[in-house]
Amino acid sequence: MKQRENTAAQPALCRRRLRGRKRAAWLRTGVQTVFFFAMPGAFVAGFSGVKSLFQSVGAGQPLQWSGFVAALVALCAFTIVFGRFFCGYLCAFGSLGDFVYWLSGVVQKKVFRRRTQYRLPDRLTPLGQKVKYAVLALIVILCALNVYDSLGGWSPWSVFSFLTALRFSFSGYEIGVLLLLLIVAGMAVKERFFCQFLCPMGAVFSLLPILPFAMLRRDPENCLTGCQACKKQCPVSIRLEADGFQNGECISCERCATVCPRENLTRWDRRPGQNVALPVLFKAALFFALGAWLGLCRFL
Amino acid sequence: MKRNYIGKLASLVLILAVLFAYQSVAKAREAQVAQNQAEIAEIDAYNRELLRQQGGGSASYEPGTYTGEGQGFGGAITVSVTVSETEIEAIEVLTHAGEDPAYFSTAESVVDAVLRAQGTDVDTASGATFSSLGLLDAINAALEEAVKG
Repeated sequence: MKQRENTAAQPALCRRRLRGRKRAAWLRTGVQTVFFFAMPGAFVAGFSGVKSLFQSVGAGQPLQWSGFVAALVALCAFTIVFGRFFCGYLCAFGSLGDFVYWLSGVVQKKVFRRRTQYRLPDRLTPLGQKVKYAVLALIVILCALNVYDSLGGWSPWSVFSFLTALRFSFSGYEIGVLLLLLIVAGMAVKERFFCQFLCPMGAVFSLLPILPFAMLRRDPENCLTGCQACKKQCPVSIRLEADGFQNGECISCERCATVCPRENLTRWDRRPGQNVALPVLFKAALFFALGAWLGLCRFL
Repeated sequence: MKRNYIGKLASLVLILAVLFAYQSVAKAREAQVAQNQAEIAEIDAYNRELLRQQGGGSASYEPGTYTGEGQGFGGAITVSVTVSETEIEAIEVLTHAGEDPAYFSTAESVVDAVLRAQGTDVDTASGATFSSLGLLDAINAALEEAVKG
């Protein structure tokens, strides 16, 4: 209630803030679109690096330096320094998830006349977020046992990569197609469904020691009483009370920082009153250069 | 939160240390295997030479350079294959416009495998299956030409 009075009393401020939120959303969508078409294979390449390392172990051979391992090292180094910016802005599969969730919202509201978008209940989230570690462990064990390659076409990522290459024959990949359809269905009812629940590369990222200064920080003293705007906006349901924002699940989408009425979420490159687009564009450009150098860009 | 960070840092260092230790063991083992394979290759070469001298009609190719084409992940891959009467001597990739570079460089390992095995019955590169299959198809196409002469 207090909040509403505040904004009503300052319509100019309110408008400016709304404009800021819209700009941030467009900026993110723009960056995501560019990377969706330029580097749709980056996340698969990184995870292929994990697989190739463990396949070498399974075959008793020395670890081989390859384009995939280079992609893995680059992704991990980038994430340790900048947080999971790759997940939030650059990963093609994450962008697919955002798009499907947005589309689902539009369809639910326009076609089914729902007032609010249906979502999976939040109480399932903490448990679901553990599932990705099981996925990672399973794939790593299958690689190390040398049976992974004989499993054939089950990978939904392979099917996704066919689609990005406009290749539409899926023979031998029926299981992969089915899994991808199930994942897309999940994406429609839970924001970032795949990223937080299933993504094995996300599991790797959330286990990385992301440098503390790369995380958004909240100063609880300065918060409006009872305001939970940041928590409600968070696509990966980070709990305010327990872990603040020092959490491997955070995908650095910065929506919390954009929505906060007091600009109370800060980081070294995100201070109140500072330009918010520049750091995003800088990080995106840096990764683009890195990815192009490593051969991840489809057009170079 | 600080303990959390230190824990993750420690596990990362631990994983890297284990991989490093594994690497030194595997390298030593690989050196052993390479030595054995060199001996096997030497004996194979000797046997092939003997067969050739006996003139057992083992000339499998018409010597020359042939090109072949295969479908990769995102388009056609063409290669040129140089053969002598009995051996695949060199393989050169001519075009691979439709492949993502990082994936294609991984797939190129099958070229070495074909040269070693002197045939296309080799494993595809994991993670780059379609580029690998495209390369193998292209090499096969070239070799078919070579057999016909």
